[in-house]
Amino acid sequence: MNEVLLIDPSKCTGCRSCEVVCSMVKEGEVGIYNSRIKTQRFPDEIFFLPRVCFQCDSPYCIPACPSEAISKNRESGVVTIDAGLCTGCSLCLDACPFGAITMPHAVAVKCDLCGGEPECVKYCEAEAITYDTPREISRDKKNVIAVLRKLGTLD
Amino acid sequence: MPGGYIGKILRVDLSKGSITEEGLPPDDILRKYVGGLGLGLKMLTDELPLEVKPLEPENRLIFMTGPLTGTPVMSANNTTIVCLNGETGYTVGASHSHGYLGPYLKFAGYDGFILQGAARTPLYLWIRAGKVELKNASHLWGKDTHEAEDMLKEEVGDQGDTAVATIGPAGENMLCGSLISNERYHLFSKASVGAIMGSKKLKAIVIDSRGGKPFHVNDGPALLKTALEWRKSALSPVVWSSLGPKGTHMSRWRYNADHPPKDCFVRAGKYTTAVRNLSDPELSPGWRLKIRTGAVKFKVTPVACYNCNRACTYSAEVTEGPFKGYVATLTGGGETFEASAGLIGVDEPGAAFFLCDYMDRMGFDSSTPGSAISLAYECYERGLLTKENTDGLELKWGNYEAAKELLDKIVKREGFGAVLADGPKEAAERIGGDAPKYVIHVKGTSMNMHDWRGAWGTLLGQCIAGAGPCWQAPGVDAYAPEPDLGYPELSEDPISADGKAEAVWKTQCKKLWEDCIGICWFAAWSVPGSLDFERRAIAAATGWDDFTVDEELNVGKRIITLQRIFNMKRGMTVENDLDVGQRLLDPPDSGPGKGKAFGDYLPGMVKEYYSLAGWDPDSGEPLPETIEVLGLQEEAPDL
Repeated sequence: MNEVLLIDPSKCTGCRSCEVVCSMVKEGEVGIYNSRIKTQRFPDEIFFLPRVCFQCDSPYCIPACPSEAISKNRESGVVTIDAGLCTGCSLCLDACPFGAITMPHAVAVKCDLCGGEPECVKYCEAEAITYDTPREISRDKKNVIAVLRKLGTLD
Repeated sequence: MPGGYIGKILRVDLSKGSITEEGLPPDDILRKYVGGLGLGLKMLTDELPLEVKPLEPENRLIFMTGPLTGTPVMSANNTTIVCLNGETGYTVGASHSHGYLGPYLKFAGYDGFILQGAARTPLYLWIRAGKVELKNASHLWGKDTHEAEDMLKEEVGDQGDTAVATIGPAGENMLCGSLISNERYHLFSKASVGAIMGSKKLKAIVIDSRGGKPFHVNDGPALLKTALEWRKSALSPVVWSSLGPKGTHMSRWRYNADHPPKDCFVRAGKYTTAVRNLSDPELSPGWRLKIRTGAVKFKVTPVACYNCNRACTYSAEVTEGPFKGYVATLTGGGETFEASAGLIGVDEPGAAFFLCDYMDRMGFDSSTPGSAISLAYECYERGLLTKENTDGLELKWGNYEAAKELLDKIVKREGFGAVLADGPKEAAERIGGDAPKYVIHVKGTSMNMHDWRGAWGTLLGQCIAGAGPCWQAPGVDAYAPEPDLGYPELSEDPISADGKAEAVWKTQCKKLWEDCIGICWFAAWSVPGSLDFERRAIAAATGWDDFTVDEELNVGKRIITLQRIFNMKRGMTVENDLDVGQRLLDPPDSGPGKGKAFGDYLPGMVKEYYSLAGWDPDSGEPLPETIEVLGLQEEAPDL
């Protein structure tokens, strides 16, 4: 099984380091609204939830794309969007149950695991984001999904 | 515009109700003053008339970020307020806060904003990307900082992307020592900035980052490389507040039961905790141990600032005792515990957490009212005050209920509260008799509260700081050494005058430079290699590739002398640097400093410091060659 980004919200302090680093790496700019990873902050509840693509085995986004711009690499496990094929119709944004696809510019973008060395992980000393095989902490991953469902609309 | 800057600031004139956009100064000025404290001070010096008093409408509150604010550099979340100091009345005022306000301000499109004038009715300032408004805040007037923040977040439909800074009742009533609460965990606490904001009838500032835009830096990959190396160095054991094992955050580690309580004395020294109005340092270790032993049972949750791996801010739920169930939202170190609880001998852990939080809610920096309250307690214990003077309150050591009531009276300037409402020095004079012998104050107001008679360099730093007593010149006697300045270890003899002026001068140059660039001091204080990381980060962000470490320290030196010029133009003299409460000057009756009087050495250390700063050792006036070297000729025409 391939390594993916695993999230443990109980360890997240809501600092948004992952977002600003992602923005710098992927967009070459300092920002938090153009990153592939998003941390939803609930300061009242003191609950912080980083959201990022799980690189699903059967991704919801792939069949939703009318221009077949999204594909999953069976070897690396990474789900990627071909910017050349993407028409910016945003159907994949709706299809993803986790809000993991965004469209800061004309085309949809998502986490590609930085080619196997995800930068956000290096900046998360809290270890709320780790890069590992899902089997190891699959229970935590299920917790995230449960929390996401409970929270309902996130975007 | 160099990278890292947005290039735009807002000017909000509350008298006129006008909001205008302005550009940043040209590149040569930016390079001289960089941002934060430096740039704010330069703007204030240029535009504040000499005769203005702190609470008059002409005073400014200049909120300024730095070129690194918001970037991936560790803890790049600083915003600094620069103003005429509301506590001293004649010095610069500088107040820092972190959290999310600075980064969100930059994403909304501004490096900073200047508040001036005074509104007729309460307002709040709402900054969004592309839209800035002044809104009615009458319904918020009188609310404490937490209530006002909650109401505003509800009003603007916050979804976790809004920073709200508000004043409390203390600021509304323009009291000495009032602060601006920035999302309850982070406080602009120095210089009475809350009172100045209150005098302008501005209740709050709301910064909504939604719809904000990213900004440009000159060399992203180089900035990321520096940022990562910096974070690793910040975990070095020499750093005073490093993370605990397995990424435990600072806040959680402080209260970790596996963290032996004795460890919490190592860095600061056993006798530096401020207890019972500093009347008996021997009580210091016991008080500290009792609070900490109780607090390890509390439910502590780290709540980090923007892009910070330290997470010194936290929420703490009291789990036992009379305050069981109370949730306090706190920051950083122990100062506020000592100022609001230690000084009056409160050693019930839940009560200490409650009192800290209550000070925040009322909108007070705990050290200023805390020092006035603790003076009253000591006077009461000594029989100088009785229930007849104190409106029936029994001000005995440890009585936290009376402390809360007294604070409520101070906030309303009611009865005995009015005696204490204008700072500790004034309170001592009003109480009369021997009260001035017992008072803790520096320049009439209070300091960052620990018992610095156990760390003379740090105490000297509080006395000579150009912005009134605050963390401008830490020295190397307590908490953290400064390896980059040739101090790999803490000083061996913290209770002596030897070498203190030099350590204070050197650490001040570094600290004031770091106050300009947009990072939290906790990311830089004592971090090995910090000066070089800062140089590289500034070069990567702005494109100033030839920036050197010397140039960094020169920015610090320039600010130190410009503060002096600003203050002297407003009548400051050497006497003001020696204006320190008798309790701090006199020898302690117990503890390791027993019998040694800081006051005997202070004038000599101050002279030595003046010489190091390039000022006349007798008058403290910056020498012509110093002004020339630092390029301050325009700012010092009549000195």
